[in-house]
Amino acid sequence: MSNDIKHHIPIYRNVFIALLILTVCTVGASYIHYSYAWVGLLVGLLIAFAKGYLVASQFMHLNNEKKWIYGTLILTVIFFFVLLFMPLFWHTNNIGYGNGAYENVSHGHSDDKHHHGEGH
Amino acid sequence: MQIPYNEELRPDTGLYNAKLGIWLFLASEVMLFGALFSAYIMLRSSNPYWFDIKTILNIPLATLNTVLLITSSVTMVMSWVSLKLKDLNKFKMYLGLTLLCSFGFLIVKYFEYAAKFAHGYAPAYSTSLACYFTMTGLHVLHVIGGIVVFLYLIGPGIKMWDSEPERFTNRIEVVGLYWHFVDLVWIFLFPALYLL
Repeated sequence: MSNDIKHHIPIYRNVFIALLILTVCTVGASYIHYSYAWVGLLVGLLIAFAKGYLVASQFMHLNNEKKWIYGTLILTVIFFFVLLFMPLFWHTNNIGYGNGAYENVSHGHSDDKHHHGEGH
Repeated sequence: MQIPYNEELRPDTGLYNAKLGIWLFLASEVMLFGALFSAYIMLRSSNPYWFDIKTILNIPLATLNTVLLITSSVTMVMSWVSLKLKDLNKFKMYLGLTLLCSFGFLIVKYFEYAAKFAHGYAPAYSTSLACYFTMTGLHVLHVIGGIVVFLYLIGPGIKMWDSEPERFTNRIEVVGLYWHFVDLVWIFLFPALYLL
């Protein structure tokens, strides 16, 4: 048992180094100017998912767990995506508009009056 | 009466009770933070006048906080390894380092929040700042929760090591899973709020 555990120590060290390198990559990637905003978003999310994978698989031992935990997590991921996309479906739903019921509803206005800030 | 499956594994799940319990709790936490991320994406994508908080947030301080949380995750897992190797002194050292990093995170966060309020950037200033304070605030509450449990386990709770070492090791594994989750949330909060 103790040999088995000792075997994990260099893995944890390597994961730590990888996480630090990926953090530098995340910050570095944010300073790059992308032609399309979604490319920057994609790069940032890809690095975050890589870091998340390392933490979950190695530190949380998800690379070698029991099926009950995988089952719980798969169910959670499904509901998480439902939660993530449900408001977007609602937002793009135009049913009901155009019949006069929502004549006074306006879109695209915000209470954010302040467009400029100062760094400090 | 002894509560069953504190140490031994349940025959049906192959897990001790606390481990299945913490994973169910973490599943509910995913939904909690998921709702906030969903609201953030929704508000940001639908607002053409989104106030870009990137310009007022302190990225070097947030990077330092990221490093502190990653380090604390490593020291947390090493404290569990130390108990598996029956080395209580090393366990105390690693859990102490985890505590140090988590207090460091809170101190850095205090300076960040203080700077925002000093410049008038309160949650009411804009929707983006309201999102920032809600999401990071909830995360800070989780960090505080972790600190409370760490203090118990390194203080009065450590007595269990003498009577039930296996159960104490399981407790450290369970609190470690919680702490890695807190780290995981920050890994996604950091680019979402500070960088993108």
